[in-house]
Amino acid sequence: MSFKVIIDYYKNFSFEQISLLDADYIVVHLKGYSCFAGAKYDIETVKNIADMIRLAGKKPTLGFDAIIEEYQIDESLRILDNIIEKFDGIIYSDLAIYKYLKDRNQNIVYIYDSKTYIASKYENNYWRKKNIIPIIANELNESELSDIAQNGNVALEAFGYHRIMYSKRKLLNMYQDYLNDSYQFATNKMYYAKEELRNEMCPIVETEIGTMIYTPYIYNALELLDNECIKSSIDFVKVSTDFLDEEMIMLALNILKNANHGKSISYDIQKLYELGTSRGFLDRQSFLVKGGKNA
Amino acid sequence: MRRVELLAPAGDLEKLKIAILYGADAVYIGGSKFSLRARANNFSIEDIREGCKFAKEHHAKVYVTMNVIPHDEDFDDVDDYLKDIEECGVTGIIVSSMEIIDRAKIVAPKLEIHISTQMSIANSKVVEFYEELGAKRVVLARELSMANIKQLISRSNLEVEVFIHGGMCISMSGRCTMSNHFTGRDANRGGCAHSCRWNYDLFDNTEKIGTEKYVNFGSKDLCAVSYINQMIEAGVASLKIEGRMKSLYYIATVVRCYREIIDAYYNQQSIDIDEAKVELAKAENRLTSFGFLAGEMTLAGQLYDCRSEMPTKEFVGIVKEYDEKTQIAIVEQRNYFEVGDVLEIFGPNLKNTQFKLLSMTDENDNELDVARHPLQILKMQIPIIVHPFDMLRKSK
Repeated sequence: MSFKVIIDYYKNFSFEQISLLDADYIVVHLKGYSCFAGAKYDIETVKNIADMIRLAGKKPTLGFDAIIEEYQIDESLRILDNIIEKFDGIIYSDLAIYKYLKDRNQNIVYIYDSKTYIASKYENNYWRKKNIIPIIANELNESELSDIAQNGNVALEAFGYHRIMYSKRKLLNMYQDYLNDSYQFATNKMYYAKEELRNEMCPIVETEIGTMIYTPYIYNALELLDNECIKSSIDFVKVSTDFLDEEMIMLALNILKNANHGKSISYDIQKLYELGTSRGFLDRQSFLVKGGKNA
Repeated sequence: MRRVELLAPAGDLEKLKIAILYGADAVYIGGSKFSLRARANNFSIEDIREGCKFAKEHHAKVYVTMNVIPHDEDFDDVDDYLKDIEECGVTGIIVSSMEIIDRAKIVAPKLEIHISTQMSIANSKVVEFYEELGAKRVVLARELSMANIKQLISRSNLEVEVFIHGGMCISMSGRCTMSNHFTGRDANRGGCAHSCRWNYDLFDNTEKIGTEKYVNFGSKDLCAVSYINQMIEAGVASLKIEGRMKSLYYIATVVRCYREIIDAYYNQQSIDIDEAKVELAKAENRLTSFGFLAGEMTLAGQLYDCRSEMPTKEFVGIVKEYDEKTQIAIVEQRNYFEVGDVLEIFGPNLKNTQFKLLSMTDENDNELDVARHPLQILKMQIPIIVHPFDMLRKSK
C-alpha cells in the first residue's frame, strides 16, 4: 500500500500545475489560523482554491494549526462551519478543532500536528482509536521515528525546515521597540537568528499569530522511505515548503513519487544532501539531565 | 463558593513541608520519573508517602507531575508507579500524555486527572474535549488574558488552574524544541537548557540587524499579585506558583505573600500591592511582569538586557528550635552572615521583624564572628518568639 503525499499550497498554482503536481493532499493555509509563514489567503480565496484543487483531482486540506485562544474560538468555529465542506482533510494543532468537527460528525481526514506530542507508539495508538492521523514528533532520532512509523497510522513530516519554537509573542516587533530604531521588521518575512557561540542561522519569522523559529537546516528524512517496512506503514508523508525553493520542492516530490512506485531514490536523496539538506535529529539522541534514562 | 486553592511547587520533601507550613493548600511534586524538572531532587515513593502524610496532617493535598511527553521507554513501569502513588495518598496527577491518562483511569482510578499546561489549553472548546476524557482540572496556557480566563471559566465545567507567579516560557508550552536542537537536552522530558535566554544576533539575509546589543528572547517572570482578586471572582479553582527548581526561601516568601493576599480577599480586607511586590522582590531573582494577563504581550514582558538587583535580600538561616525562656534560637546556616548584621526574620505566622545580631555561637557554645559553613548549626539570641521553619535573611 502506498503512502499519500501532503504538500502546502505554497504559490498561486494554475489548474494545470495542480493537476500535474505529484501530491495527493494539498494544504491551503487560512491566514490568521495557520502557523505556515506563507499563510496569506482569506476565507473566500481559500474556498476558491479548495474548489480548484478538488476539480484537479487532488484532496484539498485545510491548514488550521494555530492554537486558538478563547476570544477567537467562536469565530474560528463559525469559519469552520463556513468552509469545511470544501475540504477532504484538515491539519490542526488545537484539539478544540477536532472536538468541534467530530461533534458535528464531519467526515474528513483528521491530521493532528502537535509537533512534539507523538513521541511513542502508545501515544500514536491512542489517536488511532479516535481515527486521527498524528504527525510524528519532529525531534526523534531514526530508531525512535522508525519504530513509531512502522506502527502505522502516522504522518511523517519528512522534508523541510522544522519549526522548533512557536510563540504568541511578537518577538521581532518588540525587539524593534526595544532598539527604538528606524529598522522595520516585516511580517511573514524570513530573518535569521544566530546564537552568540554558534554559527548556525535559524530562520525566524513573525506572522500574524506570533513568532516561529526553525531549524537552521532543511530537514531531510526521505531516506527512511527506502525501508520497505516504514514505507508500507506510513499513511502520509508531508513536505513542508516554508522558505524552500521550487527546485528542492520538486526534487522532494519526485523522490516521494519514485518511492511509492518502488523505484530507487538514493541518487536523488544524495543530490538533496549535496544541496545542503540534513538528517538533523535523525542522527541525534536527545537526553535527560539526570534521573531518567539516557542521562 | 469553594475557596480558591493556593498551589505551590516542591522540589523535595523539605520544600514540601515549607510550602505547606507557609500557607499552601496544595503542593505539586515530581517523582523520579515523568517529571519535567529532571534536575529537581524529585521524590522517591517513600518521600511521596511521607509528603502525603505531612500534607494530610495539615489539611493539604499533593499532586504528582507526570507531564513529560513520553517516549516508548518511558512507559516502563508506569502502571506500577501510578498504583504506588495512589496508594501513598496522592490526590491527583498532572499529565500531558493521553496514554497515561487512559492507564491512570484503569489502574489508579482514585487519582484526579489534571491536564498540564504543556497541552496549550487556551479555549473552552478544548476544555470540553478533556472533560470527555474524564479530567477533573485543566492548567491553562500562560498566554491568556484575564478577560479570556474569565470567559473560558464561565463556559467550562472543569476546574481551572492558572499560573500566578514564576518563570515563563516564550514558546507555547510543550511546543518548543530549541533546547533539543542546540544542546540535545530534551525540553519536553525535563532537560530544557533555556536556549531562549541566550544571546542572539538577528540577520536580514546576511546583513546583521541592530546595534551591538544582543537579542535575548527570554521572558520576565510572571507576577500576578494585582490579579488575584479578579481570578478568585472569576472562579479560578487553583492559583499556581511555578518553581520546583526554586529554593526553600523562594517558596516560603512567595507562598506566604500570596497566602496573605488570598486571605485578605476572603476577610474583605485591603492589601497593599506595592508592599507585596517589595516582599516578593526579597526572593525573586528575575524581573517580573503581568505576562499576558493584561492582554497582548508588550516590551514590558521581555527581559532583553534588563538588569536587576534582585533578590533584594539573601536567605541566611532557618530556625530549628527556640527556647522562650532563654530567647536562644538554634539556627541552621544557609548563607554567609556576620555578627553585627541586621537580619530580618519572618515566618508563616510571623511578620517581618528586624534585629541586629549581637552575638552567636556554634553548637558547642564557641563564640563566632561569622557563620560561613553551609548548614552549620548556630545559637543566637532572638528577641522575639520564633518557631521552627521561620527564616532569616539579610540585605544584599
